[in-house]
Amino acid sequence: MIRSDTRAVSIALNYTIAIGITTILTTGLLISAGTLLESQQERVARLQADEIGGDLLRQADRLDRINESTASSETTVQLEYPSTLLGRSYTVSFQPRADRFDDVEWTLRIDSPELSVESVYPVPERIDVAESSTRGADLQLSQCPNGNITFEGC
Amino acid sequence: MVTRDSRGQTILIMAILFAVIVLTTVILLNTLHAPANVQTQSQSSGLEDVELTEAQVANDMERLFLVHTSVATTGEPLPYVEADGGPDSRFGDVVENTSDLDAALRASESGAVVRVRYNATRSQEGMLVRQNDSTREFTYDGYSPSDQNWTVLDDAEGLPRFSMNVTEAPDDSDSPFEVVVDGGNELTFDDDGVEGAGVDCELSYPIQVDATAGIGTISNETEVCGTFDLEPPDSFDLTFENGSEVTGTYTVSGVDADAAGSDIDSNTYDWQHATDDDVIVNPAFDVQYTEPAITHNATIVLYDEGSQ
Repeated sequence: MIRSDTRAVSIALNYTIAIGITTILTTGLLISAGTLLESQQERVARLQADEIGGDLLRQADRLDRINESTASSETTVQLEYPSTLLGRSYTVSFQPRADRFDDVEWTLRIDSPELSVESVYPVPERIDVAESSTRGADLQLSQCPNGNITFEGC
Repeated sequence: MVTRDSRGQTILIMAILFAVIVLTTVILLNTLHAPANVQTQSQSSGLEDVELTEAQVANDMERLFLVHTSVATTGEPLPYVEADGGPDSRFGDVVENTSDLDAALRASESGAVVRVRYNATRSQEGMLVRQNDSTREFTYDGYSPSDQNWTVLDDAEGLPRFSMNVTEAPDDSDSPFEVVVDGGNELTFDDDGVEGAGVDCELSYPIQVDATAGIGTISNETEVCGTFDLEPPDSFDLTFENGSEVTGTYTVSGVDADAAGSDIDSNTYDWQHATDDDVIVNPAFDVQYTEPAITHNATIVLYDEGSQ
């Protein structure tokens, strides 16, 4: 009577199961970690954009106050923000109102297409701005003699 | 079942898989940067310094102007005031000298360079009327004693300064003393205090009134009562009515204003009661502020509504 010998099958099965389980676990880990990190990246980019946007509005407000206290003035300030958001370039601009802020005349936008980030902030009515945009690196904000605040110099 | 021969292969495969997991995790984490610090504090302090500097310059220039035009609280003329040329004759030089001294101090303190220049083109001329004897009435000597109303400024186009210290109140039975701006508001002084132009102040005398561009405060030695607005129109007369009922000191300046009576001498330096015609009543200054990250050029008109 010939006895069946399953030893070879057992080794192969062992390998297959071990590699299979490890692969499934690893793939799951990588996918979940990737998704988590991606959402964290976007969150960090938005936080950084928020910080830049908030500070830009503060600077614009201060420039407006300086202008209000004089008969006429021209001021330019060089701003030192990170030149990239998470390694990607970004643009800041003053643009006419967005849908979400239809009760204000102007908005400040920070967008980085590569990161799918576009942050929009309302510009207070009393601050006069001119439509303008610039890249994040070497950013300067100017308040011109006509009272308008712009990113593109007077 | 793992035999002894295959154990090494299994360990090797697991080690490779572990290394792949670690490397992948490192690569993914490497793309997650911590946000670089936005240097908001240093930037806002730079512009804040501009604001503070400008306020200091305005304050310094006002004191310089008051001293130079000799209508500061002492009312004493300084040696460099040239009476025959009017109070503004050498003011530009004085401003420049002061600015040079100030710039040297500021540069050593903050690294910013600040220059101030007198701007004759933007400065406004007009008429200055003042009295520094607190025992005298609010009337003009050249008028008939029976005439209770005195047109202090005639056809003025601005009211840079308006300050009064009314030392003695009208009696209950007297007519109240009134400061009337034609086309604007009026302040009424009676035995209870001051009212009108947006205030109702029951204050004890002496009462101080201090306004720039028609807007100012009413106070006495212990209390600040409120803010009034005379709302001077583009062209107006300013009149003291029933000025013989009160006593005190005052300084009133009007842009492009005339003396109402032909008997009022211009450019007189009688410090008890003087009216100066065609003098600088609202000086302007150019301010230049420079530091590595900020360039700022501004013109300050000292007694403009927005320049204080």
